[in-house]
Amino acid sequence: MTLGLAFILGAFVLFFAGLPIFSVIGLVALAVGLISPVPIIDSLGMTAWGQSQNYVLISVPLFIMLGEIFVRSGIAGEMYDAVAPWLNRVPGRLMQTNVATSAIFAATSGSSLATAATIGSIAIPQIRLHGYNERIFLGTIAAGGTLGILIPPSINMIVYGSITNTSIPELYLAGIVPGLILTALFMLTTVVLCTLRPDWGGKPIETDWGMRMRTLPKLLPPLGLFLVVVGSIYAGIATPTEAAALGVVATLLLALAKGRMSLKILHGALFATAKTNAILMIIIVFAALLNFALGLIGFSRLLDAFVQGLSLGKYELILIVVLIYLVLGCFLEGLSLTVLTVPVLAPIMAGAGFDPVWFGIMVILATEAGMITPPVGMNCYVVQASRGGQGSLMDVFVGVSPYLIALLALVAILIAWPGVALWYR
Amino acid sequence: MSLLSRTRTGLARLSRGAALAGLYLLFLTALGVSADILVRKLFGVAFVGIDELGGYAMALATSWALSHAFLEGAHIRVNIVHMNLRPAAKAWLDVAAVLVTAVMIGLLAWQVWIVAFESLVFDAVSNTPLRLPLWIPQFLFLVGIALFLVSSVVVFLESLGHAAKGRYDEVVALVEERGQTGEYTL
Repeated sequence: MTLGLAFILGAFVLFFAGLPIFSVIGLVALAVGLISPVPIIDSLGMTAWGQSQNYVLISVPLFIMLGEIFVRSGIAGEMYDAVAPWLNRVPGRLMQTNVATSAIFAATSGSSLATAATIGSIAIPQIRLHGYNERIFLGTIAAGGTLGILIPPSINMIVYGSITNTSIPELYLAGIVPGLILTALFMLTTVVLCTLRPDWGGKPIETDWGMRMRTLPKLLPPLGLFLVVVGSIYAGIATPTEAAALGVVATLLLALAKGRMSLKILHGALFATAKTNAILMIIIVFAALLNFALGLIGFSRLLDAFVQGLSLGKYELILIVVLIYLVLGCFLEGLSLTVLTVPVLAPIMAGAGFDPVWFGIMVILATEAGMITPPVGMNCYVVQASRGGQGSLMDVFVGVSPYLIALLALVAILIAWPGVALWYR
Repeated sequence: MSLLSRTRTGLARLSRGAALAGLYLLFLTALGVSADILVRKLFGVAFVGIDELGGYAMALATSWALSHAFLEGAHIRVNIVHMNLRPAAKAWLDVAAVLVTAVMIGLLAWQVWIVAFESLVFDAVSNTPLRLPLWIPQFLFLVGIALFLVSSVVVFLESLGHAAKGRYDEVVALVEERGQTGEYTL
């Protein structure tokens, strides 16, 4: 136990010294190797090779590629114009549009940051134009972005599924209802805020029923993509990996059909995908080595025995785990958090009688909370970056805080009624 | 321009090319998998080995992009303490971070070399209908890691040189993330 604490403490010091996360994980794995019965380093080569050609994980870069093409070709941006007229009379107007468009975008994108970046670049110029409260407006973009990994498809669910051998189609299904509830909770939060302070809600845009109907076809591309990347799985046509490949092709055809595709856009998308995929995979490789090392020294059994020894109730256990995630989420980026914690915690939770699919959704929600809490809240960073150097990051963190409450409310709902996620059974 | 920084510029160009090449393989995989589904649905026949080749494409897309991601300063790190430090401390921590990266990648390259070399010596073939000699994709995989290793060593030497002469801003410019717009698809 003391040794374990020393490792964790050492890892934290190295994290905060600003070492790349993959090397910290690698160092900890090698340190654990010092007390394991067989040398850890010998399995690094096979681990790297095995993880890198994992067929399930191919869908991760494919979804990144899909998102990059979708956004860079400008098709994604058109959704906003189609949604805005419909929400013109709801308190919060364009702030509601931010959340609703994020939810629609989330149904084609597996990433929260892509969602926040896309909506941010379109929506932010509207703040001054229509007199919104800047902080809350930015908050709706950062919060709306988190829907990206909860509403299927979801890169984080793919990674969770591949670590725990949980069915990805089931995880997708389990994300749908919580995703819709969270969208509703975010919109309700905005309604409450703008009813209390009507001056925060901005001026209406000019629109009529004719315009609402005319812009509606702009929602067809995301609907079609959703059918391809999610629908094809349940129609029995494709596996999740194949669905991602189909999604890339469909997006490409869509962009070509609209005359929005060029070699420059394709290369931009490929470079961005290359970078993101590389930094993710190297973390996944070293995390797999660490888990192998922890397995060799029987860490899971030790921790399991330790948790059993505490003789916690079911609710106490889940509350502690949620708390751990909220704290770690403040400092770690979402996928690093997943690959580091899930291999250790998922068996314990399963042992305590929690459903792995349900726990997957909890991990996703906790990750989302981490994306909007300081000091490391990637979604807020992205929104701040979309402002083009105006104001401070604190504006976004302050503006998003009411939505964090909505997110935590959903966590409570899921603990009280697991059926909200497991409705399909 | 010093020899080191000229080497680094060359490496940056090479790394960009490698990253793009790897991603084209993955892009082709997406096209191939889609074609496979279409043919399977329409004619009831499946391509042999598309998932295996897709796996290799994924491995190469990953390893060939590592160096590019590194030279762009993209590898994820927790910089919250870091960004509040004095320039000297910040620069030296950056140098240390690059050193640790180089050592870790050195270990990785060494171990992947062993895997690939053993595949070659023992004539290991894939356990699929393709029966592809495994050393081919494994050595190609190693090439990307080796490129990353070379880049990290060069950047380490160059940043060490800057830090030793007190040119802290140049260390930071060399090691940390460049401004990036629109690339947030994590």
